[in-house]
Amino acid sequence: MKLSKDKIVSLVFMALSVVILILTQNVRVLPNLAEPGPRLFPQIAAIGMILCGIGMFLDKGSSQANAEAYLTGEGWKRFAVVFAVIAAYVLGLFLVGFLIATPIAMLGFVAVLRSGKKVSVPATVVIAVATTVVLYFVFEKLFAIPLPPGKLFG
Amino acid sequence: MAAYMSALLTVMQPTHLLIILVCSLAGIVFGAIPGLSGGLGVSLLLPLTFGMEPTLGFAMLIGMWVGGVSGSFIAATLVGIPGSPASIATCFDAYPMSQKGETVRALSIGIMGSFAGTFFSTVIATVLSPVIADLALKLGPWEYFSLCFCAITLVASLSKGSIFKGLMGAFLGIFIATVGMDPVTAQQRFTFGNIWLSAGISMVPLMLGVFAIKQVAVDYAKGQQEMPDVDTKGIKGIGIRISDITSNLVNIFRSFMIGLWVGFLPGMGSGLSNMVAYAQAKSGSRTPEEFGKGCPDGIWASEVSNNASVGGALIPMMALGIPGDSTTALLLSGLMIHGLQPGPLMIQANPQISYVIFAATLVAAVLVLVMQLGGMRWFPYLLKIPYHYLYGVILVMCFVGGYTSSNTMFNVVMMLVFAGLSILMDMAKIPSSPFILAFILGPNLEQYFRKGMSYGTHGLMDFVYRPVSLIFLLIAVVSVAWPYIKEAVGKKKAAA
Repeated sequence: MKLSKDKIVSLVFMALSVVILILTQNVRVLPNLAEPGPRLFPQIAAIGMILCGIGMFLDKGSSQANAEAYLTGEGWKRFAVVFAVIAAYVLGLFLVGFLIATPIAMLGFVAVLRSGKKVSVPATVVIAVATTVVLYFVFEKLFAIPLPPGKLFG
Repeated sequence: MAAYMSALLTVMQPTHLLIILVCSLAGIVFGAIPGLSGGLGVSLLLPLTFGMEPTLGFAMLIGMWVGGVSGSFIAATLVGIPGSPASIATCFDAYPMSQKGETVRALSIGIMGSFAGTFFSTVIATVLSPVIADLALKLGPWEYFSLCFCAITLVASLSKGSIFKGLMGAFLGIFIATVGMDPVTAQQRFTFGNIWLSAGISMVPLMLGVFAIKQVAVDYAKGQQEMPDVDTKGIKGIGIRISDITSNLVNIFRSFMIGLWVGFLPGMGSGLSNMVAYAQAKSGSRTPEEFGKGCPDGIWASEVSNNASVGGALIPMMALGIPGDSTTALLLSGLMIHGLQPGPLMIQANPQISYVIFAATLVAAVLVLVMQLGGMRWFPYLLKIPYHYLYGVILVMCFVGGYTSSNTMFNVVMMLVFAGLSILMDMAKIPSSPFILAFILGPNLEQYFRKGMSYGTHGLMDFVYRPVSLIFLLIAVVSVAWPYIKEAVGKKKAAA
């Protein structure tokens, strides 16, 4: 039997809810409380998700409406590429900090997001540097909000 | 009145005026470009307000919001693609009117409709919010719990698709809100010994992940829309006739009231009001056959109603601390970040910042009107801004925002986690509105429930014995059961 996307999602949520219910038992409850205590709401959320999961699993109508693909194969490839650039930027922020990682990441973002269109390299470099400088000035200098210094330089 | 005048004077200071002007302009750009929205702009600007004086920070956010809601009619009129769901109905008549060579008239009706909707709804919000807040002060934790519960169930049940999915989103939001220290006895929940989780999940990375990162990544993966060319030569003058206004007074009033009411209801905003108002305008028209062919009534209905939702959404946000739509949810989180406690006491305890929000909305509406009337000929160029630069800057701003919300890389990673969760929810068609609303209201919902249980003498029955609480609970139950009642009645009628 092939399960529809809705049924798979409902099973995943039900499994997650069971894990939440188990983890809720680890929450400490102070003795002699005159109210339901800190375990109640996570339990309500978990039981609610289980009930909704059952509802989704048994709901006939939604599996047909959900038949179309979220992204095409090509779309998933594009998603993987943009996600890779984002992940590299996060790593860059962590290691070398905002001032070095941002202009490089901007060049990467434009290179990926241009979708094969021709872009002016000097204009891209100017925008990458300008974005970095403006954000640095506004956050660090104007509002004294620190930006990632980078583990290697911070 | 004195507090309002003082707030208005604050907003009229050159720095505040300038920031509203710049952010309204940015909002118009965000609203005009399909795929972006004023809400996304507000989420990007939110971290910038951390270091700002609150009145200036909110002037900035409000400018972006008002510009964003108003600007969405531009693409709808010029290329027939709505800038945001708020202008779906605008496309039906503004684009055909533009195709008939009356682009300026269509744009002018959109501009005037937007202004009328925002301006007058904000006036009503300014007058009504303190009154509603005063009434709300007479309520106890039982009523507040039922009100929050009602708001969440209303949003979940009115979400597109299955009710189970709407409620699933709400329960997930409630669960995520329970991570961290519990609000009554300060016990750690689901923190796994991680110190960054002990303060709970921060709103900023959640909002940026759900609103911005997901939007950019998925838009790119789906492939961006190519904007058709627009003839800019015919765009000059004002184009609107007095008869366009006088012949539509009833339509404008009706659409305004629809927008105000839909905006007031939690979780629903301009995305719904424009469709309802358009349908009502068509059914109430003497010439319904003209709709869809460039009829001015349709543009008025859509644009007045979607902008009237701005003021409508401000009322529950300011009077009760309940967001009327996703952008007011962001504004509420902004209030909390600045150490303010949204709720019925907000206006009384912080009159300056509260009235600055109302005054800034009013001033932003006027500035947007002036900018749009004066800059109409440049509208086509807004649609030509290259996506690759814009999205690149947006992504960088997201990460800066994620980091600055707590000065740790932990929140940057959380932002990616929530972007991933939001994509999974999107794939499963689980709506994000009930998720966001439940996450924001979750701590209050829990606190009021537990306080209600410990203050009362009848336990759970206290929530039912109190009439106002009972009304909210009944509305919540009916909103969940309504689709099934409707289906059963329909089947019975069909069988008869």
